[in-house]
Amino acid sequence: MVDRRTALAGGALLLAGCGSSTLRSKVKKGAKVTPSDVDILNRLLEVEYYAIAAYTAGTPFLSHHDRDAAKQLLGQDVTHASTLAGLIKQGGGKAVSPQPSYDLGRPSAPEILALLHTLEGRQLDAYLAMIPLLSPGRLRSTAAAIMANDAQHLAVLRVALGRPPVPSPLASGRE
Amino acid sequence: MDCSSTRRELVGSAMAAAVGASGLLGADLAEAAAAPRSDAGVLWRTLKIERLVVIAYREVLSSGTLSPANTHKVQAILGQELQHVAIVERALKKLGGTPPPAPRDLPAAQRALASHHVTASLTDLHTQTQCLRLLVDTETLAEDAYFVAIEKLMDPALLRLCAQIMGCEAQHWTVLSSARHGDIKITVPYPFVGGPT
Repeated sequence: MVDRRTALAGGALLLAGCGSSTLRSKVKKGAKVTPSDVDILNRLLEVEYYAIAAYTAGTPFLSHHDRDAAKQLLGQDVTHASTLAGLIKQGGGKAVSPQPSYDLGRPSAPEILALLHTLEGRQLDAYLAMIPLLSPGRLRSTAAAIMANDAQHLAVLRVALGRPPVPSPLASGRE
Repeated sequence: MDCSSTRRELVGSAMAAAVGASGLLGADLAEAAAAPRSDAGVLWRTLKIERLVVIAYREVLSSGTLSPANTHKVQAILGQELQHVAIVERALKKLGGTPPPAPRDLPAAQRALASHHVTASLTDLHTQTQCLRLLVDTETLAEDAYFVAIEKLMDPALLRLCAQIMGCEAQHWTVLSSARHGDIKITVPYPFVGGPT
């Protein structure tokens, strides 16, 4: 179980160092967000928060090599969350807060990678389901830019788990 | 490209054909004239780029430059790219569209890549670095093509399909970048994939 303060502190530190604000501006430039998008974006934000909590809690227990990878992926998921929060604000909404705690069970070190893989898969499936529901235009492609990065995370985690990195020509979180 | 072309599209296509015949910046202007105004138009442009990606993979494999391990990876990715071509072509035909013609020859494919700012050579493939650079650059082009497609498509099923292919292209990018560098900071360097160039 990871508490919200720990998750936020870990995430904020990583966000401060990720230096991706220019790229973020470039990708989401021109994205028009309407009030009807706010709920959808908040649902995506909740899924991102869950993964952030799992990375924050699980990363210290991974091997040195996997830990480096997990830190990189965590930093990117934090950037996704802050991007979604920015879009929600732009649409006149209020971004949901992370839950006070997340019940992640008590996974062993090898199970942590499997948990992260499951949560990245859930993120990917959430974006695939939600992208068509968003307002047309740049907002959809901004969400797709995040989704495709999560697909890369899945490939990295699959390699760490000894699985093929790209099992299908159509990415999904179900493999 | 689209069975329901408007007058403006037809005039644009005719202009592009004329300029193309004269050999003046043909690829760029034809591309501009074919700018997507419908889902079929979007798929037409995307399919054109997917075909360039396939050519790059075939040239790399036929160069015999890659190690056995990388040859195996690239063959597997080519198999998925061919599936993307088939999937997008099928979707385009279902909308009544006609698939774009394949580039006439390698120089034409190279010019088409250059028109999308891919400068890596299709023929100068004497080292693994040259091969992997070409493939990473063409995967970046494919990611950008799907980013643009998702911005313009209207049909929900096509949107989901293109998002799934975009995710797969991003995974290819990571596999290739990993074969080239092996450093996680380089294999997944950015929190966003694709985007306006």
